[in-house]
Amino acid sequence: MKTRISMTVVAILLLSNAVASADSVYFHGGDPPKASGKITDMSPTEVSLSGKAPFSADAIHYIRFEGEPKALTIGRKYALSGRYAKAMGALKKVKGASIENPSAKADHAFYEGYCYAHYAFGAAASKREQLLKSAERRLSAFVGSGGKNNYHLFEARELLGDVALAKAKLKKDAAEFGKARKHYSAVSKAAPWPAAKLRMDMKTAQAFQAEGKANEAASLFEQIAKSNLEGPEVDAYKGQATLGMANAMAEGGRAGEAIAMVNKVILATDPKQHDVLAQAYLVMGRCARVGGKSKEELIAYLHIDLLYHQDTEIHEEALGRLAKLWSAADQQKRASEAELKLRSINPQSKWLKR
Amino acid sequence: MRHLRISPILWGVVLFAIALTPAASSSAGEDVDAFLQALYKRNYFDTALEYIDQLKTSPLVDEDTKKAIPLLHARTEQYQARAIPDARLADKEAAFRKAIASYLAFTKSQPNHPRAVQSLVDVGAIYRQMAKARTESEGASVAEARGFLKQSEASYAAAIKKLKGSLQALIANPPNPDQVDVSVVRTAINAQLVGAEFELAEVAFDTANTYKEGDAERKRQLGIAAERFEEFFDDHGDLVIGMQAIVRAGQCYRDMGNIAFALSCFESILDDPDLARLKVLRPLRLETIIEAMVLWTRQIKEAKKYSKALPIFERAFRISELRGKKEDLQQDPRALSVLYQRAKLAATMANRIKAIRLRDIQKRYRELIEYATETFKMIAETEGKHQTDAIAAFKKIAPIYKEVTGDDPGKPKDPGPGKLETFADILKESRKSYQRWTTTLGAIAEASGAEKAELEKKSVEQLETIDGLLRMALDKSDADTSLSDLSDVYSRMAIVYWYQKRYPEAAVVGEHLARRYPEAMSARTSADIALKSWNKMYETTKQAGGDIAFEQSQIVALGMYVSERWSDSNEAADALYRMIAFALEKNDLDAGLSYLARMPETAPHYPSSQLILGRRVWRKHQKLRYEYQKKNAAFQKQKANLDEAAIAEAEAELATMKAQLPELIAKVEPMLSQGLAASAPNPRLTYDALFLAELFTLTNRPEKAVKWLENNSFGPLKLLDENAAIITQQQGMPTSIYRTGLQSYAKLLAAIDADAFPAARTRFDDLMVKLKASANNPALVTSTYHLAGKIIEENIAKRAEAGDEAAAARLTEAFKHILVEISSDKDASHPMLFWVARSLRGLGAASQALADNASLDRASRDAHKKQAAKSYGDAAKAYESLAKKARGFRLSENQVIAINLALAECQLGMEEYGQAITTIQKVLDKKPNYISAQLTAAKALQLSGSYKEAILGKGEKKRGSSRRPIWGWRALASKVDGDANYQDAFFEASLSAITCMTKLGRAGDAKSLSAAKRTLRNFKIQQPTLGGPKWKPLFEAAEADLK
Repeated sequence: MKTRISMTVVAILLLSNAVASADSVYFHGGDPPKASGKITDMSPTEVSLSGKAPFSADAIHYIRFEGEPKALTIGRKYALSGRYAKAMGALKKVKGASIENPSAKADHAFYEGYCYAHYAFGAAASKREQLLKSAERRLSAFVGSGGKNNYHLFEARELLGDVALAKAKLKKDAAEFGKARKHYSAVSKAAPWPAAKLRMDMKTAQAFQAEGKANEAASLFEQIAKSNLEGPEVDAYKGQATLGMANAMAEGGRAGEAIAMVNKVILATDPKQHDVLAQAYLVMGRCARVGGKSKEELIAYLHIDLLYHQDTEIHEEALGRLAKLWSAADQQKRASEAELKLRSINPQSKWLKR
Repeated sequence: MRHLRISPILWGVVLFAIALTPAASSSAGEDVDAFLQALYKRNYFDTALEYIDQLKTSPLVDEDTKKAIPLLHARTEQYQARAIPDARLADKEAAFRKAIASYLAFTKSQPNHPRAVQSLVDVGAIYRQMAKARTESEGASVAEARGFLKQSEASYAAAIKKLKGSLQALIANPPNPDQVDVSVVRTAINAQLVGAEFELAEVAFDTANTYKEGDAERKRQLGIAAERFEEFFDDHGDLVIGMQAIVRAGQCYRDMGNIAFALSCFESILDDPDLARLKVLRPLRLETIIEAMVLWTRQIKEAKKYSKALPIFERAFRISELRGKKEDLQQDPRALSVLYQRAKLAATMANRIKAIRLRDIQKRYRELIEYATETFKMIAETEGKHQTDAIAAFKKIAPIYKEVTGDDPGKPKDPGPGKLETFADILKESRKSYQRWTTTLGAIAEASGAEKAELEKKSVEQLETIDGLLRMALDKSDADTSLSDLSDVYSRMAIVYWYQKRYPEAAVVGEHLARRYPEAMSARTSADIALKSWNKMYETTKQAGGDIAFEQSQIVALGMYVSERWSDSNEAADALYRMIAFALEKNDLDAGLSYLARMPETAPHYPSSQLILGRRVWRKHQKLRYEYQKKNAAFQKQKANLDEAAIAEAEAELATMKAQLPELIAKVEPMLSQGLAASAPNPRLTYDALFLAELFTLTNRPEKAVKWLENNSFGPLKLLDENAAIITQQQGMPTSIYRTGLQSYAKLLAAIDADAFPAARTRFDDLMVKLKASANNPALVTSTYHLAGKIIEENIAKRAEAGDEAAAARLTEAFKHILVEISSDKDASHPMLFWVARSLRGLGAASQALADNASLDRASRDAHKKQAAKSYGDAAKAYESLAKKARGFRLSENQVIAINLALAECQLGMEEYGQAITTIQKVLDKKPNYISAQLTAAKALQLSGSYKEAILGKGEKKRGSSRRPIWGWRALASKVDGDANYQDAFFEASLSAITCMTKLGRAGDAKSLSAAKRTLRNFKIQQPTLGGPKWKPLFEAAEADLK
């Protein structure tokens, strides 16, 4: 009996060693969990392992390359779990020049840009601009050289769009808005996946909206909402597009119709999708304001402050509006709390000035 | 008393499924329950009630949730009532009654709702809470409390009855298993039933506690409670709540004085080793230990012999042993209670064995004293229920410890404020702590070394305490909290954060107070703290080489606010001063000036702000002036090649630039003058004084310039005389100061009278020497001399024109000194040497003119003549120097010819005629037909007394030429006759020829005399005007001389 156990352990160890010495492709949703082997070909749309049919790049969560530095493995892990500061620390330890495998090298370059970008999105307003610039520099370098044939290429370009959009919002810079749309458009044209195209349309519409180009945004939102595509990811975009349309309608004075649309989105949205719900309650608050319903407006913004406050930009608006609403309701202490919180998040928030 | 035997298999933890299930459904749309819970957490009950009202028409919730709205309403009211402090008993009870009414309305309107029965349980709970509030309130009626408990009992009883009825109905008429899972329903009803029955027993226990100890009714009620708990345990002993019931029963027996029964109940939990291993039962087990320990301690005290007490102690100590880290135990109030009881137990046992003189027992005694002392001390240092008692116990046991061990156990650390519940209490405590901290802060200022370090450590701890208290106060504040109290909290927070070096927090809180509550007394101070905090962050970021734009903009925005809000305050002035610095850092001079305009003139920083800005404005002026001069020079050079439009454009641009210069001066002058006048004298002001002196020099106010340059405290020239490091260590600075000084003095010399002149002249000469000694670049020295010379030259002319010959003469002396200095400079440039030579020659000519002035007396004329010779001599040296360096200067042939011609003229002035002729011959070798040279040559011959050669020329005629190399007056006159360009040369040559002939005639040459007469006669016929007003008098004089 003992011998049999020992043999099993040895076999497992051998197997695990064998796995560790090959490239491993991990998939979104863990289905299949992963595939291992030698990567024979890689392009922005597909990754091929020896003896296997090519995998579509959009299905891949990440790839662990044979012989890659340990710090890259750790950094990637942190990055994908949203711990960007730690990830940046780990990735910094990797000497890019020491990586022989060009795909692993590109992977390292990509994740550096990826971390800077995501870290910037959640950073305090004071440091955001600098971080965005760093992210842009890294991602541009990736797109322009090592990443040309990498499966991260579209993601990198999309991130470049997000970075440009964030910069544009900071400075109300028309050129950056244009740059963001250009990146989204490039991905939309080159990526063969319908959901990705829809996502890019979504982001383009949001960029138009942020720039104040309401007509362009509304038209795109409508197009997305009417899309024949199906699936959970697509549904989320449709929901967001509907919210975009509702926002435009509310601003056009049709608050009643807009609220009905927002309600539909809330009913259809998975409660875990906090980003969509935050957007929904924001639009709901705006609709209530247009309709002169201050109590409803307050409740909508409170939903954001209490339950869906992950998006700083939306949270800022909600807090700014809440401070005003509480003041108007003679709830000075609550107004003060909201304002202090807003000031802590971003001392330069435009909502403090209104 | 029976002993428990509980099957481990049944130790499942039964949750009160229905009671804990959210009243509202969260599956569809809005997450009502999560939102309500979040609102409760913030005490936003009013908003929660409004929200619940909105749900009635909301499309985001399903019908089940809508049906539960009255229940949600009641629950919210219940929580709202619970949050009202006991001190406001009437309000609290009214709110509870409202909640009860809502619950009852719900059960009445929807008797078949799944949560209808639970509402009765909730009502029972509310009555219990009301009774508790009554019992705990001072002066409240106990009878009322009992009334509430009766109503609570009735509610629970009604609920139990209904639940039992539901169970029976379920058994009698089971629903279709395809539609309803009967087991789930039964479990849910059972769970509610269990809860209600337990609560019913609790009500009896509560009722007993409304009576005083020893009261018969109390004992009776305790008996009822004990019986209910035991019955409950019999029915549900396999549940956690069942075990809780047996502990409760033990407490009842304890209060009834039946220690044995009580301990029997407690031990049924404590003796089971399997139960001890279950983590889920740890809280209950700890509570049971605490209860049992009290009784065991009592038993030890009451035991007649120590041998009887010892086994009780051993057992109690073993059962109550806790494992875990000290910090964890300190944080769990139950664990702390157990430790306290163990210490008490140890102290009691020690007391029992103290007198027994056996070695082992004495060893044990010592161990127990040590344990009890250390444990009491630890609890005395930990905030919690037993803290006060532990302090007292420690005080009692500490001497014993010292006696037994010989060591001092020390004192427990500051126990802290104890339990604080209301905003007012917390704020009061925070103010006390704050006061203590300010005392420490004062002591730090006076302390040093180890004492200081100790105090600083104490300060850090005190700040942490205050921080905790203030945050607690904020949590406890509500709509009734006064704004002054709230702003007091914020203000202290900002100060605490500042001293804790938590600058981001200090900035945010300080700014919040300043903007949100500007009327508050501390708003201004808080704004100042915020500004300083932003400034600290700015400095840190800057030091790290980071982007400082954010911090800068924060400071500017807040500074603007402060300066607008409290315009006359020192804080506003401080803010503006900082903003000026930032504006200048960004080269935004206009912004800086606008900030200065906002600053009160009485502000301490006002003079320094004026100086900082004044310097910048002056630099701007100097830069603009330089650019203007450069552009103007370029324009003048190119003007001829430009079309009209381009000229107009360039002229407009130059005019705009020029117009700005006086505007800038108008700005700078008051800033620097007032800034300097209002500042305490300090060598650092020397640069401001220098700039101001430059300004006054430029605007021709040399007295003022010199006043600042020579200021005793910070005058740049004065400091240079003293070799002050502030100047000498700045490379190039001395030279720059001397340059300004020389220019100022050059202008001053022209402006002052004879009495003041000698001293100024001495200083001027002194500065010339010092400049030369200080400068590394000789060209700079020469150019400065040149500049000073130009100034004086200009003023000589002005004085002379004004008829102030004496002043002109004084200036001329100074001017000559400069010219000589320049000419002796081997590094002087050729234009400068030209100017020097020309100027000296001019001075020579001027002196010569005076020497020739017949109206002057002989001595004066001689003196002028001497001066003329000297000036011509100096000029000649300058020309010779130029001639020598002609190649080095890359001078053209024409320039060299001009130099030699001028040199010849100087030599004539020096009466060195032979030398002059030699010089002029060099010119004529190159340019034989050069009229000016021929004129000079003829003049030289005439002056040397060679009248004949002067008339007829000198030298051998070359082949084919009708003239000698030096033409002489006659040939010269003939050559230029009729040439409009040489009219003067013609008349001069003609006149000089007559003069020479006359001279020859006087010397006895009659032919020459008659020739002179004849020539003059003919000339008069040919030129009846005799050359007009310039020449006619000379011809007439010559004619008179002939006669």
